[in-house]
Amino acid sequence: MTARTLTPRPNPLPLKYRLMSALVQGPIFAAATAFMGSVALVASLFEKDGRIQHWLARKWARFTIKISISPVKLINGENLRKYPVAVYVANHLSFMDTPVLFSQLPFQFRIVARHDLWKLPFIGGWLRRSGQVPVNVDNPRASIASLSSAVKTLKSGMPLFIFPEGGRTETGHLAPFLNGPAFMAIRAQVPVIPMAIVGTYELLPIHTLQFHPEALVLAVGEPIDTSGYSMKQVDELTARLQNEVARLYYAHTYLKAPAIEAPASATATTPQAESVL
Amino acid sequence: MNGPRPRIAIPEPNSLDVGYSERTWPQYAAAIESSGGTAIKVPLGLAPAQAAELIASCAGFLLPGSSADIDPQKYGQPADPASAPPDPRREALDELLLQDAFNLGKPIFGICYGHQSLNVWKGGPLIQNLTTCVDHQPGNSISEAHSITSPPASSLLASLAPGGGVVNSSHHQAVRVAGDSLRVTARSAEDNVIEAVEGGSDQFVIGVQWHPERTYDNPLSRGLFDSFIEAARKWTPRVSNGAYPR
Repeated sequence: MTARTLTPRPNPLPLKYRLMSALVQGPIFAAATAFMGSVALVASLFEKDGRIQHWLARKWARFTIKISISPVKLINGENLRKYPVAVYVANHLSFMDTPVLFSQLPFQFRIVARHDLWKLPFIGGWLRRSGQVPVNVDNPRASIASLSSAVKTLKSGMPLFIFPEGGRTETGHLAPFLNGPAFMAIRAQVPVIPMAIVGTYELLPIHTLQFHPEALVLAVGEPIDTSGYSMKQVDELTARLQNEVARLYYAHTYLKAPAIEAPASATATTPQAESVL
Repeated sequence: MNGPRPRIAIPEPNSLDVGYSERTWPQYAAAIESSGGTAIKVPLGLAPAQAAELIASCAGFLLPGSSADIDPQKYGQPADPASAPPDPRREALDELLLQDAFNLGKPIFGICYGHQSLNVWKGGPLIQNLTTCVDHQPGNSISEAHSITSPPASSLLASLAPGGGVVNSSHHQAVRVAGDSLRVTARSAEDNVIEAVEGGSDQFVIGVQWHPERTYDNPLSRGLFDSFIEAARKWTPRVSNGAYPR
């Protein structure tokens, strides 16, 4: 068996992938999601803490990864287990990121996600009834309230996962990180674990429903302990997280890291930048 | 009350195991006395009004270790079969002490069970039974069980052990997440178990998972007791606005 390496997604996608997606993978994917969502809805009537629903989500995740014919390789998985409670973050490339995470993280966790996902059929019901944390990114006051509820979830001893970019990338490159994960990790005094998801952009990018099977990677970085951090250092921790996720991501993809990314603060203070203003 | 030798209230450790209490209470008292305080024993059989009267005369509270475990219902978890039965009298007294201390800004020093008790009172959960690569129960005779990470700047521990240190260990539970307004200031170096938490800068609040009273000759242990007594000496009642600072 030869190991597959990640290559750019062909455009247009060859006919066999389009047919596979439209006739086989897409329908099975939708049916599995509807079925598992319904089972989880029934389960939610009998449990308060969402544990059975998380177990069902893992089953759904493993099945949908199989359907997409894209095996996931976990790199440095031991970093996932170093702290009992932490904030886990990763870049966001695709809808398939969620199955990658649920299939690979070997413990109960809750996710922090955009509040509009709560309106989706089946998925919204599962999000609502299994104790996930909605965050309203459009309304600053509401998003502070939702971050506080995320801190409460952490304080109760439950790990959290969040996509700090706030949405899927359009280009395959990282978008700037939002402050939420650093805020909640420092407030709750738990570490942050940076992770990079690689390959789902080639598998199923934003604005498409056609799968192109790929070899996926979930690379886990060293945990960042927040016990030395104060609330004044939220931006600093966010920058550190972004650098770490970028390092992990570009180490495993064929894409080249954008050159101008790192010294954003340095360029802003140069004379040229001032003359532009 | 808190003149040159401040009075420090120390609860009797365990109402379920009298032998344990008789054996361990004098160690805490000896450390307090050596650092310049007066140790006051608070028996666990007292009525709340009597206990309140007794602790009102004290300028600082030391919450000692215990062989019991805190009732996991207090932090919303079902009991693990490996956890020891809870000691409701000790829990009630700790809560009385913590409420009084946080109302009036009195110094608090939690050790082992007392450290966990402080954390649970502040709304933080515990790990009910540790199963990590480090042996956290090597026995009382081992004074150097494992090392701790270097504490963050501006913490009390950083002034006593800036580069971390080696501590003894005698527990099977630990803090899972620090409670509200507490911050983690030391972890076990190899398995990241939380070893110390501290409060804000306006009140002396520290909890440690190890037993400094057993190694009073060690500079870190002695420093902890000395700074606790120093804080008790300086303590003046905080004017309460009626709101409970929880």
